[in-house]
Amino acid sequence: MSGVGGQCWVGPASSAVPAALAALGADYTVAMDRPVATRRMWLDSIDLRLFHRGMALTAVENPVSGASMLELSLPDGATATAGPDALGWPRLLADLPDDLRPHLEPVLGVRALLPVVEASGTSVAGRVLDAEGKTVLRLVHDRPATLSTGRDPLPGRLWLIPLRGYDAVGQCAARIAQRVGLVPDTPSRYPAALRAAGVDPGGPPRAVMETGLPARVAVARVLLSFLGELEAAVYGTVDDVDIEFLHDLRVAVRRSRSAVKLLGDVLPPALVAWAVPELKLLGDLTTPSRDLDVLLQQLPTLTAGLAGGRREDVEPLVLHLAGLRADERRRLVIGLRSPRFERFRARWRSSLLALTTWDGQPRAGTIAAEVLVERLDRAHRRVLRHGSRITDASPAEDLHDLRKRVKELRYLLEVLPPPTDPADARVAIKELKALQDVLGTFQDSEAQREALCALGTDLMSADAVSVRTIFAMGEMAARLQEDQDTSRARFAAVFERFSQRSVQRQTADPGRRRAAPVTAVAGAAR
Amino acid sequence: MKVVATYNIKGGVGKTSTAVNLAWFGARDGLRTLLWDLDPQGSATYMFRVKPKVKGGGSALLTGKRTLDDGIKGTDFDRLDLMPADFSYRNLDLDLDSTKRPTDRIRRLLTPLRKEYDLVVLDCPPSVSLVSENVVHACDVLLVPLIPAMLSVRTYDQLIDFVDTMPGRKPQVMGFLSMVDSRKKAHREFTDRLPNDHASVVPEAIPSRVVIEQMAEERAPVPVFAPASSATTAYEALWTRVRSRLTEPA
Ligand SMILES: Nc1ncnc2c1ncn2[C@@H]1O[C@H](COP(=O)(O)OP(=O)(O)OP(=O)(O)O)[C@@H](O)[C@H]1O
Ligand SMILES: [Mg+2]
Repeated sequence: MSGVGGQCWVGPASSAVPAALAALGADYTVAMDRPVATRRMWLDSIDLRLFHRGMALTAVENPVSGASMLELSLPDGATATAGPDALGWPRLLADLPDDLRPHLEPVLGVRALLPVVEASGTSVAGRVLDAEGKTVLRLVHDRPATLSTGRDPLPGRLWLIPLRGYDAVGQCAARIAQRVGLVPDTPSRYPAALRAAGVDPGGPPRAVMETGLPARVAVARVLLSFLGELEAAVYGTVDDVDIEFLHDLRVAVRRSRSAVKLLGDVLPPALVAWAVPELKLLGDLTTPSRDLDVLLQQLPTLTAGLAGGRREDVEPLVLHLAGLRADERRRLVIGLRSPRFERFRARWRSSLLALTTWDGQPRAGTIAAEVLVERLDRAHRRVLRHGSRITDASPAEDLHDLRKRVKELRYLLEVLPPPTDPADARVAIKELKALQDVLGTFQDSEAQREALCALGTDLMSADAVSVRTIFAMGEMAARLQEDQDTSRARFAAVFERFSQRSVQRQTADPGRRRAAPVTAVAGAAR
Repeated sequence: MKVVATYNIKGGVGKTSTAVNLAWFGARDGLRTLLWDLDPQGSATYMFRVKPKVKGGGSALLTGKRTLDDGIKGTDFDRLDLMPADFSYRNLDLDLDSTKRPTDRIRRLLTPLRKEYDLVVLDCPPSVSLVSENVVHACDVLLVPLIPAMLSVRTYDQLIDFVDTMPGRKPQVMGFLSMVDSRKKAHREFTDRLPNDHASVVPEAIPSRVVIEQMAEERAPVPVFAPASSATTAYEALWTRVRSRLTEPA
């Protein structure tokens, strides 16, 4: 009935589609239109969230107007369209057309859409006609397209779109297609386009310690892949594509810092002495921007519960925060573009590279596995020790400190190779995650409450605010305080569960008393 | 799903030309449209180059042996489908008479297609019959082409009376002037006066044009082969009026 629907066919060789058209022409009258140039862009988040959900979003450019039609194919095969659309990319959820937003929101979250692959080529529409000159089958031949980033072209394909009431012709054409070697293809070309463009949808593999290597080589290699993650997040942070880039960058920095702190003794001391303050500086550079991102992100939740629903009261705060964020971002961008950061990247990379080569000869120095197991064990015991000292009377600082220890343990676990016995190990990571959540909420709600106080002081001293705004902020602060109190109250039970699990592991395997808790949590790192 | 029928007791007044062009505009505007050619002469079917043949004929449809779904054909145009005519439709009246609730059959045959089409256009044969009564029962807008002549006004008034006295669900009757020759003084006067005298006659008139006659040679709706013609403009204006009627809250 319409241009959508129908079956799409692809061939192993580029000659297969023309061969099918020739074969069709022998049996039927085939009328082909003039070829039209097509430009199609696939959009996705940097981590290909649409792809992983079985979705595809394309922008098909109109060669005359330059505007694009957006076409979203959903996992169930349905499509949603919007356009014409002339805004550029990358774009966040809020700037997407209304017809697409509900489908994309749960998948994208805060991530921006950006062009992933672009294909330009020509396509020709045609019709199979009966003796009366009536269309009884439609065709579209998408010729092989050139990709902006790829080595290979996107293969051509043939659409056979049967008309209602003319099924016999459609079936006959499908048989012809099969005869010349064409095979049915999925309607979405996104997977094929990614493949042809050489994009690996799996992304870079998680950095894992190669436990059989000398410790120094293994640690340097892990640090090198952290550096890769860090560098990959720089452009998106500088361009403010979405707030996850900065988050990814910070995670890479924190992982590096933890690794240097906990495993750095196997590296040359001079390198460590240089890297530690450099990494700290980088971490500090990113903190104010990230804090503001998080606060802005949280704001809708915080204001949702305001008494009387007076969200407009916090408008001055939102404006102020947006201004602060712009200032902080400027500082951040300057830092990330500075010669110092360039020098750091270059030196860190070359120093690590120099350490990663290994001639395969057994050398003085320990094997990574031994170091890792020992450090894990130590980090684990440190968490248990710090945690068990915490009472209801402990100052908040002690909990913040414990959070740091827990994070260190997590980062160590993350570089462990996949466990041999995942079944019983997974339980421990669940407890560790719960502990992290409680400590995270505890600290973040405190930090945000303090941030609100500081912001309130700013606003008041600038005389830029009504008392209503301050009241609303007070309500929000009270909410945060509640969150903090709740997590504090939950801490004891959550920690108890974590430490009990650890004890269980120890008693279950008395022969390896010290290593046991490590394997217990370790396996779960996957 | 909205149903529009072009209807007039009189033959050759422009029912088929109007049905074909309006259906085409509906589909162009994004409506999933079905044109059902109820006339055994099959003029609308011919216009879309479809064979005037329905398996089992009209009686198979009425007895439920076949559904409309089995007979519908895709046209050359996006979103526009056709239910072809069949020569056996000339007996449709007799066939209808032998069914239960004979004035309700067409409406009931359309019911299963409710989700599939936004617009159905019925092109009726010229007559007063059970078929036409069925059509009146089935449609939301009854579109009546009127030749600018005294006699056609009289039959139009009769039709309005008939619809008024009809029990149950009633369509809106919408008259429009058809085949208007503006060189004729009488035509001009009619065109000016009729919409004023008759509230149900709309001001959008279809002029008498050669391109409309050419539809039979081109075998296509006017906007397809003469997009810039005044006939295209006139049909589009009439369609716009019909569409707004259809979307008006009842
Ligand atoms: N506005 C017009 N200008 C010129 N010719 C027209 C116009 N409308 C219709 N015609 C021609 O008049 C003849 C009858 O038109 P049409 O078939 O549309 O009327 P009809 O009411 O459906 O006829 P029937 O009652 O036979 O089904 C056709 O040859 C058609 O081309
Ligand atoms: Mg007719």
